[in-house]
Amino acid sequence: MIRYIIRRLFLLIPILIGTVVIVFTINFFSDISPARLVLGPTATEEQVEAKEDEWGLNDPYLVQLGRYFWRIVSQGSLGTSYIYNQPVLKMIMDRLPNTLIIGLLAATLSVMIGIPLGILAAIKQNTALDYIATFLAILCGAIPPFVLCILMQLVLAVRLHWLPVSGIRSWLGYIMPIIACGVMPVAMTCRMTRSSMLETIRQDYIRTARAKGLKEGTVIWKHALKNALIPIITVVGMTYAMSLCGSIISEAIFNIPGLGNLMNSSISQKDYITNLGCVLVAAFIMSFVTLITDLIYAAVDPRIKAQYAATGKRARTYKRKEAAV
Amino acid sequence: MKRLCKILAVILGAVLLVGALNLQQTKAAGKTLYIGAGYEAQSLDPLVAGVSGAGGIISNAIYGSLWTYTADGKVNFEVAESYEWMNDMKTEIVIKIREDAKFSDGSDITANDVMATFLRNLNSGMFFYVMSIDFQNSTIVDDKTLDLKLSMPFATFTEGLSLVKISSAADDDAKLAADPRCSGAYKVEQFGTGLDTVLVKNEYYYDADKLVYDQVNITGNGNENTAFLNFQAGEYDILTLNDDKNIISVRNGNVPGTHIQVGDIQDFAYICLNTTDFPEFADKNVRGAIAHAVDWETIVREICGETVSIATSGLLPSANWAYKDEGIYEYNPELAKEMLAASGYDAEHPFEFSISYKNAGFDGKIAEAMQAYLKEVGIVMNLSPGDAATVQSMNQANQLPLVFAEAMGAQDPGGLTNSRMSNVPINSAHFGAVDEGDTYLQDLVDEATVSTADQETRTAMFHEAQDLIHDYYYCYPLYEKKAYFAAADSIGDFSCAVDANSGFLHLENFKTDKVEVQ
Repeated sequence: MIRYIIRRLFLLIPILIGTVVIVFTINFFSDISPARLVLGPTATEEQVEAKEDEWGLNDPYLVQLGRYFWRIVSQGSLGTSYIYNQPVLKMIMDRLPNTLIIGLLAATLSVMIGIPLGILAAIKQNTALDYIATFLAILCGAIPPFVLCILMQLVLAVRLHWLPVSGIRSWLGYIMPIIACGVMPVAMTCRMTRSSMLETIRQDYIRTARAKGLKEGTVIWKHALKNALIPIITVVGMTYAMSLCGSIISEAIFNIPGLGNLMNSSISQKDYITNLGCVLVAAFIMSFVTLITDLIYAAVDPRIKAQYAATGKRARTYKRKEAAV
Repeated sequence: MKRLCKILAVILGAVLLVGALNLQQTKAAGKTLYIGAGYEAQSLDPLVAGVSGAGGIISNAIYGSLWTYTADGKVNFEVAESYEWMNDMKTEIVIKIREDAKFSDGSDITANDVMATFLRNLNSGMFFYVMSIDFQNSTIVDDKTLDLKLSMPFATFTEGLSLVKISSAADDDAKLAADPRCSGAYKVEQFGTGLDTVLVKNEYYYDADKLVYDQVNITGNGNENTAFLNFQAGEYDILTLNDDKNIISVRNGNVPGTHIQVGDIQDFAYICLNTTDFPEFADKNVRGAIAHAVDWETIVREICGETVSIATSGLLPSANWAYKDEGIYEYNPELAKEMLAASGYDAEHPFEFSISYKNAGFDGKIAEAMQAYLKEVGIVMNLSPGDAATVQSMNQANQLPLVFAEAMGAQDPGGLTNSRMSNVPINSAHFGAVDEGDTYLQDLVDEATVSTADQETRTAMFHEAQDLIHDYYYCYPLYEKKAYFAAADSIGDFSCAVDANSGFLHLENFKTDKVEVQ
């Protein structure tokens, strides 16, 4: 199992390198000079040239790419923002906590509401409860997040004055962004839980459990849910991963200084070096959460754990055999 | 399950209740002004902060300029108490710093600080105004006097210097970015990611007792709609407005207890043609046909309404040498047809071109109106709306034949007042360029800039140059913009509190009916 984790951690390296190479290449060939954008239309060609030399933008593609990687490895630096003249890593680390708080709570909210709602809909299939739960799930999924954001601002902030319209000057500022980010995943989690549970509760072993006289609660929570969890974990894992990478829309609307907002502004301002740093961090978060999700699979399902272990053993056996040959 | 739902409902209710109670207490008591502005400031470094959004207002408040300009071109001295040109050629200027000018730590603002600020600007390469200073021969006469020599005359030099924010020579980049010594009316109390920027009165500011507000809270908003909702919710006293829908909404009384304040600024919108990359526009008849096919005055009046005034010159009205009687192009479709015919275009062979424009502000509506007018004379203009960043990128890459452009402050879109300094890289904007092999215009501008000490002769030359530019149809002036602010009625009027050059609020000049700053 530990070998599996280590292998997966090593797999992060090519993923991150690939991400950087793709984004760097697109930026490199975009033919827009950040120096021109920073210096403005009144700057002379010589000034632009000098700035580009200072930033090393006139170097060949491979030199620039190599320098970027070398800076990460040797100095742990993601470069300095063209626009704000600040270390990119510092800008990201200043904003990441806000994104993590909102992402973590939004995803947790979706789990806390989506899974019980899905279970309820499954065990009360074709009853009023099922219809209500399904209706709520479809409603949550049908409202575009930006519409929900603006509606909440209008009602809860402008009309009722209960919450601040935007910003995170106090903990109240987090409430609307969390709801906005959490609503869509509620729908996904609920739908997935319902369908997975429906499939599971029709299995023979559930009928057997009931025939044995187990309480309905025990049947649902211990036998059905545990076996229905794999697809739910996939959805929940993706929800956490995407939430933690930052939501560009809700962060922009609620004026949250987070990773999504930074990514958005760096794209619009052509601050490629900042954009590259944001993408790199987002890719790391995404990969890391995917790894956690895979490990949870193993914790939940002993068959998968055995598979992970077997994969490691098989690989070792194969290598030994190969060496012998 | 029911219990879980109940617990969740109770928690949500409690959170909202506490929120409602808490929100009532968020506004601090006392003379505090709450301002909502554009993008959050990322740095307090005047070279970085003062470009846009909240940063512009903060920069204006915490850093003093040598002087600023009112919209009608009058000088308003700040850190400097005077300047004097030492010869008619305008290559030597003596600047006197006011005796009582101090930074927020109580130290004097000296000529050395001003010179260090110029050098910092020069090294950043971001402000071209200081480039004309001959640093080898310029001298610091004493603690409060600078003798600047210019390497060549620069007609808008003093306007350009008004944009330079004075910082302390003792502050390095890191200090300036986060905790600078402030030369302006306010100093920084709080600044950080996600926080309101809180400014408090700088007690060493020479006019500190005349400042209307003890504290100013500035919030940056990347999203204009959200900022407007904040204003509607009463969280801001003043909001900078760019969206004409919001301007109209406040004007129509949709936000009770508020009004619109208008500030005159030097912001000039025009359309220009890219004659270099699109050879079809090198034909003067084609350019002239477009100029005369469109009823510019009607378009501007109908689309922009009272929010702007019609531009009548290729230069900002307050810029040196601006020739205000140039007049807009006459609407004459028959003349346009004749000009097109002279270049071989007719109904069977119409002149056709395609443009992209940013789908925001007035550009889109003006483009659509132009399209209709041009169709009448047989010109096909294909429109492709896009987001601002994409259109800007296309423009930077010289991929657009016709561009909606803006010039602000002391900028000189055509490089007319000093064609050597203002090397506008966008071909389409450089309407002072050589026309069809004729170097007369360029020679005239050069001569007018440097040839003679006689002011009247030079002015006449510039006027002739502007006449030529008008006749060459490189640029179609559209309108002069204004700065718009939504304000709570309790704040009163502050129409004079706008920096004419930058368009940002100028808090030290903030006037209400209670205070009159001379």
